[in-house]
Amino acid sequence: MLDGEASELIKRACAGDALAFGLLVSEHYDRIYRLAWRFAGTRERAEDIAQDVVVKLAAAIRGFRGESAFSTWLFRLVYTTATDSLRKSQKLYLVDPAKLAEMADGPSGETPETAHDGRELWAAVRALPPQQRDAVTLVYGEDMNHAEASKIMGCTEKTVSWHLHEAKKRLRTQLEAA
Amino acid sequence: MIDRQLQSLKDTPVPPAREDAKARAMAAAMAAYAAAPDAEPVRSGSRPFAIRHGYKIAASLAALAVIGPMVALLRAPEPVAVRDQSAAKTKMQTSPVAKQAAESKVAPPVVLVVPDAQQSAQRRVAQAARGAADSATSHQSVSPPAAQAAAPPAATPAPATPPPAGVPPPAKLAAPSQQAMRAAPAAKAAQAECPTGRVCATVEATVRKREATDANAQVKSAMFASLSLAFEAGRLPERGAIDPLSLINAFDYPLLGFEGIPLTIVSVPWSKVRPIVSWTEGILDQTAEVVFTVSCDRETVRGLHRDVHLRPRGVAGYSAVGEETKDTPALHRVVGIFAVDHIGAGCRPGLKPPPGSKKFSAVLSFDAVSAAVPLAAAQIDVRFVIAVARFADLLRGTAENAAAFGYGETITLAEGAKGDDPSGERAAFIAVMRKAQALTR
Repeated sequence: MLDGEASELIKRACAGDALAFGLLVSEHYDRIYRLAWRFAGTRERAEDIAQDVVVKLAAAIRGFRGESAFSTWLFRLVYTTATDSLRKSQKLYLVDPAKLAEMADGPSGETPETAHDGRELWAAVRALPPQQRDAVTLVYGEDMNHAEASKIMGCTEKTVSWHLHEAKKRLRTQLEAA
Repeated sequence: MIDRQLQSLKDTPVPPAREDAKARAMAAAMAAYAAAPDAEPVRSGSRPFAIRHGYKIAASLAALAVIGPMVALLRAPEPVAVRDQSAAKTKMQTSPVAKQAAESKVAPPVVLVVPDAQQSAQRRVAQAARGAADSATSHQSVSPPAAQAAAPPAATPAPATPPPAGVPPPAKLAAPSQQAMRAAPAAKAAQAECPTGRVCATVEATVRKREATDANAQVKSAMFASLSLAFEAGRLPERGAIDPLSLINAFDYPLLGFEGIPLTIVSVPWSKVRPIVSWTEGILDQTAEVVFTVSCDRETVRGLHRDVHLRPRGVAGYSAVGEETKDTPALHRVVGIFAVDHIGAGCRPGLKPPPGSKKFSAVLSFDAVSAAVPLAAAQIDVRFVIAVARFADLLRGTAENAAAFGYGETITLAEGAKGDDPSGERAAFIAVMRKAQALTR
């Protein structure tokens, strides 16, 4: 599954080469952050998630066996970290202290989330039940096919299709009502 | 229609990550990579069954451990359960182990007989225990003073006898072992072949193993690992790489919020105007909506199922120092730690329902100034979490009035809040703080 220069980098990182690992992280950071942002919707949270992912990657890379594509394996790591983080954030949301005054006194009254994505559709997607939200984010947000999404979500393609179907039904009702 | 709209999701622009965030992530990753063991199994794809259903498996094993022996005993032709004390006494005194004990005047330790299916696992435990002990010994070689310490009074019969082959002892037989466990520190770990020919591990061996593990307890956190690594190398970590939140979340705070006080305001010695507010949600059901207010202003942050409102009017600002979350099947709780600027007399922190919410009816609010407790009087876990946050602030160089309350005072605060520390994590943290203190001298 591994090929070319990327494969060499991954192999060296797996073997304990810190330089190779650094290059690998640097190369993949933007993809990690982008997927994290799709789930989180704000830059601060996406950066936090991306940092958690690369730290987890550091602990896990030596165990990567190349049984699946590295990108799939990595996306799976991002997915689990992001969904864990979202689950936690449903309870308490930490806000950058520097933004508090602006939040209290700003004229717009926008939440950080709405300020960043600014799209009703994304807000509706993020309000879906977790697995429907994940399926929509991966398939429509990241343009993955059902097979790729199923590997990342750890379920079957059929399940992904079902979640998408349910999500569309729900979104249709919500958006039409709005 | 909806399909077309969904197709547009992938074209949503993503704001680029900030360079400093990327640099921080890289630094944390490199530190974690250096600290990681050579090879560690990785979870990829679907999580293994044992992980996904870990608690179910554990519950089933626990149920089997309780029910299995009971069923076996009920079916055994000559039960040895301590239903009839005199019969049990006779039986115990005639058992080979009891005879040996009588001859050597050493009470035999309680023997745990391992069922066939668990022999290999138990053997590994026993081996580990043997390794942890100063020297591997059998029943007979337990040193007399230690054994006497572990033994019940002379008149008390031997605490247990090996049950029939394949039958683990009933739960009642474990009771005397508690005495042995308490008296165990001086005892050698013991492992022996019991008369049934099965591999047996004594309770002392298990206890000893746990002690050995605790002594080397490590806090399982990348942040903590990178700090330890830097201190070991004789340098202080980059200030920008210190993340108080990660450090706070590296520890357990089992007592926080379980004394009926969901919100604690603590006045701290290093600042007269910035008390620490520790907010804990301990007993709310998962559908409740919660609002944290410092004063009444406007809703600012909306979670998906839970609203947390930060309303800073009336305060100059406050920092979210950290949060700690814990989930159990019955409840979950959230702890927020905030350093609040200038709480005025009219400012009333509390838990209030969001406007129009019918889900959460309790309103809890009190005056910040009159409710503040001095640091020394705060709950033990509140003190420890404040020590962790203060340590992070000292390392970051952002600690207010560091000369008045520096590493030494923070270490003293953490030591006073160590408590039982069953996992040894707090002790490990204090050791790391001492290293930091030595480096900054």
